[in-house]
Amino acid sequence: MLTYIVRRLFIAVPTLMVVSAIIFVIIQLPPGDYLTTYIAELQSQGEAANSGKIEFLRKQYGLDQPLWKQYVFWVLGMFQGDFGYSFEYDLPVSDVVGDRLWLSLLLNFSTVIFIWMVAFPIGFYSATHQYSWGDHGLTFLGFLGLATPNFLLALVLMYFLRIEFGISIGGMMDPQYVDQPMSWAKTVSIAEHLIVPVVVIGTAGTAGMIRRLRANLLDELQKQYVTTARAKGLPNLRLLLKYPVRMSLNPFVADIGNMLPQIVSGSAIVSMVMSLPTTGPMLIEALRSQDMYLAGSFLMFLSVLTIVGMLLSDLALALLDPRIRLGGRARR
Amino acid sequence: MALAYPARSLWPDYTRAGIGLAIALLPMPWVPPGSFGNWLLGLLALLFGGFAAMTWVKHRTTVQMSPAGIRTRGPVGRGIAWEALDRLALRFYSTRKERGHGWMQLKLSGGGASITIDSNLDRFDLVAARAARAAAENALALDPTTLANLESLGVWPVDSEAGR
Repeated sequence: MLTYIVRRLFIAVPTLMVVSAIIFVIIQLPPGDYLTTYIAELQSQGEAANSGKIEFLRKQYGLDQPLWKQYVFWVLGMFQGDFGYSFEYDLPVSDVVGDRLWLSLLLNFSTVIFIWMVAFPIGFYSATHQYSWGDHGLTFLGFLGLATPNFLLALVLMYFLRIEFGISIGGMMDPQYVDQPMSWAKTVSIAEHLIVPVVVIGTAGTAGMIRRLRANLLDELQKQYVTTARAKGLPNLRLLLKYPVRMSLNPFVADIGNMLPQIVSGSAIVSMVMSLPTTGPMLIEALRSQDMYLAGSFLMFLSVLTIVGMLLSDLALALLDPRIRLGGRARR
Repeated sequence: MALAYPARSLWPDYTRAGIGLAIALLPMPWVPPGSFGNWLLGLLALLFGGFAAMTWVKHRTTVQMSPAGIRTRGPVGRGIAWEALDRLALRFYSTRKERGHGWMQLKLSGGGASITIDSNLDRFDLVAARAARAAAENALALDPTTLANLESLGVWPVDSEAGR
């Protein structure tokens, strides 16, 4: 297994290095830089930009340095916990992101857990009761969940809860707890506000996961070893749990890598609709205003999530199902 | 019969260990002690260091197969009699999505000892075939993954006359 981990890391680390370079180049691609945008904004408001100050800022933030030098400083800074400076907020990136990152992580991990908790029993039931009324009903709900855009679901739920129950579900906590230190009451408030966003963001993922789990489990159930085990009189539940369920867990595990970044970036629109103080809306704003270090740090965070997620899911898959595939050949 | 890991099959692993150690150790002077980056690089250095040590152990190891059992000689020497074999697991690993260009790992246990053999060992297929025959003779229950991998090597179902 150590060999596998090392060889897999040998793909992950260079990928991360290449991705970081591409991110840096991409955020530099639009003509000008943040200060150019800043000057244009001042001019559009009829104010004159102080050229001395602009030059000073350009020098201070290293924008006058060659691109490769800026990149090296950025990467080395990240190892030291310094992600650069946000021009828009006039603060270090780590201070700007602050609580938003933790709230995003909380929201996204809650969503992943929600998807697994709901999809697993439903997928299991659908596969073991194929073509029953329950299976048809759950399949219908699954397709409905897949077809509904999550921002639309957010709008409908917000409208419905406001009109019918007079409840406002925007934000991640009650307004009185914003910028307050953590307390039990604040935790409860966050937990209450978490339910609707988790359901909204998790619906499509849950529906997709149910379909894949059902299909995989059905495939496994038709294999010869299941027929043999049944013929030998192995109890049904024990038989199911021993191998077919284990094998059909593969899509759950394989999805970790795709799910993490998709949820983070996919929740951006929902966060804007529901006024959630997560990282998504901030990323969009940073990209719009060419706040290069803030945008770059966000994109880097998404890339790290993707690569670490892929690494974790590959390691888990190697543990779960180290089987040769048809067409795959062992090397000596 | 004495089998060894050919040096040319181990050099890529030595190279990986060296590059990994360089990636982990070179940025250390620029990373503040006790920071997250410091821990991460330290962990990577340990991992690649362990991998280098493991590759060296493989380099110095020979596998001896006899009608009585299997034995490894080298820094970590162990032996298992075929009659005492009570566990056989054959795993396949690949870093590619299409599961090509992978490698196998054979784990044998019995009599309180366990031996792990990688598929870059010379005549790995012979070792796997002999171990599979011992497993069949000892009526071991093999998991579906191991069975599928043994089948792909062409050593399962066991031909009782082969390899004698």
